Amino acid sequence: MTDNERMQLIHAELDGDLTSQQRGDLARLLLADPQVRAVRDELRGLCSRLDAVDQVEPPPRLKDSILSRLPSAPVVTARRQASFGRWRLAAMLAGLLTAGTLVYQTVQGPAPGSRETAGTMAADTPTTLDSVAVGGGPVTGRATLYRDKSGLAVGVEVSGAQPVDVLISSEKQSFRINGLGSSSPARSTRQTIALPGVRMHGQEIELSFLIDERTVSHATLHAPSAH
Amino acid sequence: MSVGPYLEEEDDPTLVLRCRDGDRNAFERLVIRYQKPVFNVALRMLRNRQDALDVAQTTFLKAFEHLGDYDPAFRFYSWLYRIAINESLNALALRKPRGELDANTADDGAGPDRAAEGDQALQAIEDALMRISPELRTVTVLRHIAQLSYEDIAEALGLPEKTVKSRLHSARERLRDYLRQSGAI
Repeated sequence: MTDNERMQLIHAELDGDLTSQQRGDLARLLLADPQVRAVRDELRGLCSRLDAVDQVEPPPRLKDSILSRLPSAPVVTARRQASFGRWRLAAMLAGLLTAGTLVYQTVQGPAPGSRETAGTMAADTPTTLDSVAVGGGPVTGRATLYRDKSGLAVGVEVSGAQPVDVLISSEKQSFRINGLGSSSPARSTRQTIALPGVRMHGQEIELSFLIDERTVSHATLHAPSAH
Repeated sequence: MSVGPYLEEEDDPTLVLRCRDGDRNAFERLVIRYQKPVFNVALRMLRNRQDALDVAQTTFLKAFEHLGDYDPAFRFYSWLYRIAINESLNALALRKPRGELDANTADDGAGPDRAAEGDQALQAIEDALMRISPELRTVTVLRHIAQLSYEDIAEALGLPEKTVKSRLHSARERLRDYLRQSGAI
């Protein structure tokens, strides 16, 4: 294996892109070569330090300064208007197509031990109904309840040091998202899941966040009444 | 644990459409939502608080002026980051070469407590970031500071994902070299 190939393996690990074959190759390499182990540890440390760089709060005057300098309105030409018309149409079509391609499984009752997995879909242009922060434990992020033409959907974005499973329960139905954050440790991962058959009538939608089948956090989304 | 009260939030596409219909409050919502990440991207690209504020302001003003040019096939924040990166690169190009002065005179905006904290590790990372090329710094900042996915970075920069990865890998290795040279690792 060349130096370049070795580095590619290390970077793939950092990016969470290793195949099982590559994982095995890297493990053997790390055992056999302390120099590779040192390089890998340094790069891992570097990434951790980069990820830990603090986000600096901008001064409040930034927003005011921007808003005070806004021109009267964005420039809109006929071409641009046509573009947005196409966007609306595309968003509608995307919603319909997405709904048609959903793969999901419904679990009767909130069975925490089940491994049933509901499918996911790409978010289109939904309306946000509720959004809550998730935190207070080893998982942080946000859960959002959407409505679009195909119905209700929940978007989850979490960061966790380990893969996080999310169990979503609404009355008698449960849905599950597995392995969020697993592709790259400590990196935010988003996924949106449709809730087919769930109607809005002011109910609560419970989310449980699990690591290794152990519940580490909860969140509750509120669906407004349909009327 | 039930988390948080009911929060009404609108999605970016909805807010953009409202802006297009002349709703300035919708744009204010977008500014509130993205001022911090845009400012931080500019700050880590430029390592100067005032320059970063200028870039952030210009980014939002340009976004507003060119909202009609925004291609909804892309994520709004990717488009916004693209503007912020271009503005940061422009600001860097306009700077007079300062060499080592950059590391000494740069202002990261963290305030006087920063030195007191003696956060040498962070200082070393920031020094190293300023030593790699703006191209490599861009992907590093978008990946590790803005926490964008490769797909988002590729979209923001108009590059293939493979190129983004390749640049990030080079950036990590350069950063590691600089940190080794400075004794930080």
